[in-house]
Amino acid sequence: MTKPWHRSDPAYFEKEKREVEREYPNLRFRLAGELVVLEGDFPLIAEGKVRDRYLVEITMARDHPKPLPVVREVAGRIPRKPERHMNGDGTACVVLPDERWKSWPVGAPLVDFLNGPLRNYFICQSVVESGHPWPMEELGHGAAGIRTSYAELLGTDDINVIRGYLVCLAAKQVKGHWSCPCSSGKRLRDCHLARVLDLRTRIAPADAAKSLRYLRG
Amino acid sequence: MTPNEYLAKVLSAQTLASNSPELKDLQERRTQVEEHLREHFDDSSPTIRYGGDFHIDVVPGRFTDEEEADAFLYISSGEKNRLKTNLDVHVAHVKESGVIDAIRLMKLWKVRNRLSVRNFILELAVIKLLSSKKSATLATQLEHVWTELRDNIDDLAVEDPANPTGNDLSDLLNAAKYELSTAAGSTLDLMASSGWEAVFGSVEQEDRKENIAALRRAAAVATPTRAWCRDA
Repeated sequence: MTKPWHRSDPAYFEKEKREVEREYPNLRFRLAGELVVLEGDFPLIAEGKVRDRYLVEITMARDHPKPLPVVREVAGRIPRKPERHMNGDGTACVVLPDERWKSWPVGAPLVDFLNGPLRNYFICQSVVESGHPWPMEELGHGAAGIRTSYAELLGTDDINVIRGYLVCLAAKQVKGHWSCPCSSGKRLRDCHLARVLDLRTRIAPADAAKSLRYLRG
Repeated sequence: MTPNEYLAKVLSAQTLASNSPELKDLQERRTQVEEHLREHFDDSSPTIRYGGDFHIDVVPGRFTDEEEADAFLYISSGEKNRLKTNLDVHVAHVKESGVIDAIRLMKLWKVRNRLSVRNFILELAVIKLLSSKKSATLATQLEHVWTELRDNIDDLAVEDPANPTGNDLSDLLNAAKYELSTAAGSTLDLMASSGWEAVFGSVEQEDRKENIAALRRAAAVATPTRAWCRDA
C-alpha cells in the first residue's frame, strides 16, 4: 500500500499548508491517522470585509488531491437537507465531483478549492439562510443532477448515450474496437475516441464509475 | 466602533441598493402617486419632475409663470398661506452645502423623534449652523447642531436661498423652535447617558443586511460552481 499523500510528498504537503495558512490564519491542519484534516473558522470575505464565518472540518483523503476533500460544517448551522446541498451524514455537496475540472482540476492547489468552490458554497448558504433563493445555478439532487451535467457536457439528454460515455470514462482503459457511446454504430476509434480521451483527462474514472451507478439506479 | 463609524453605518443603512426590492417598491409607489395626481388634476396637466436620490418627495405648488422656475408653495401654518420660492435653487443649495450627510441624519432624527418641523426649514437650519463646521467630523457636526438648537435657538434665523428678502420664514421656524430645542436637549442627554446607539438605534440588523447584500454581489461576480447533493 502506498503512503498517504502528506508522507509520500512532504514538500507538496508543506507547500499546501503554507499557502492555506497564509490566506486562512484561522484554519489549522491536523493529522488524523492517514488523513489530513483542516479545521477551524472559514471566513467569507467580500468587498474587503469578513461578511460571515463558518466552522468547518475539511478532510483530505490519503490519495489527495484525486478525490474532492470531504467538507463538514460542524456548528450545525446548515440543515442536513438536499435542498441545502447537505447530505444526511453532514457532509457538504460543494460540487458534483464530475464537474470539479471546471473549478478545481486535479493538481490545483488546495487554497484554490477554498477560494473557489468552497467560498461559493458557503456564500450561497448565507444568502439562503437570510431568506433569498440560492444565488447561483445549482444541480438537481442525486441522479437528476448527474444527468443534467452530462447532458450539457455531451449535448444530448439520451440516457443510453450518457451511460455509454460513463462506461468509457469509468474503464481503466478504453479500447478502439469498442462501440462508440454516441450510438452511431461505429467503432470508437472511427468516431468519438478523441472526445472520450479528452474527457478522461478531466473526469476521474472513480467519479465516473460512481455516477454510472447512480444512473443505473 | 467609533461614533463616526457608527454614523456612517446608520447612513449606509438608509441607502437602498439600486436593485433592492424596497427601491423597486418605492418606484412602483412613485408611479402610483403620479397616476393618482394626473387622474385627479387632469384639468391642469400638472408638471411632475423628479430630482435627487429621493424618489418620492411630493411638493405640491403652482408655478408662477410659464418659465416653470419659481413656484408658490401652499402652507398651512404661519402668517402667509403661500411662499414664493424656487425648488431647483433650494435643492442645489442643499446639495452644495457640504454637509449633506449631517442633513440626512438630522432628517432621520426628525422622523425618529416625530417632529413636525418642515424639512426645508430643518435643512436650512442645519446648513446655517454648520457653516463654520463643514470640515468637522459627522459626530461633531451633529453634537454642535443639537447643542445650538438646545442653547441658542432664539438666535437662529433662516433665509430662503431662492428668495432671501421676499420670504419671511420666521413664522415657520418659530413654530418649530420649542420642539426642536426640547428634542435636541433630550437627544444630548440620551447620548451622554447611553451613547450614540440610543439615538439612532442598533446597526447590527443593518450590518447583517449589508453583509448579505455584499455576499449576493460577490455571488453574482464569482466564477460559478454548481452545488449538488448525493442524497436525492
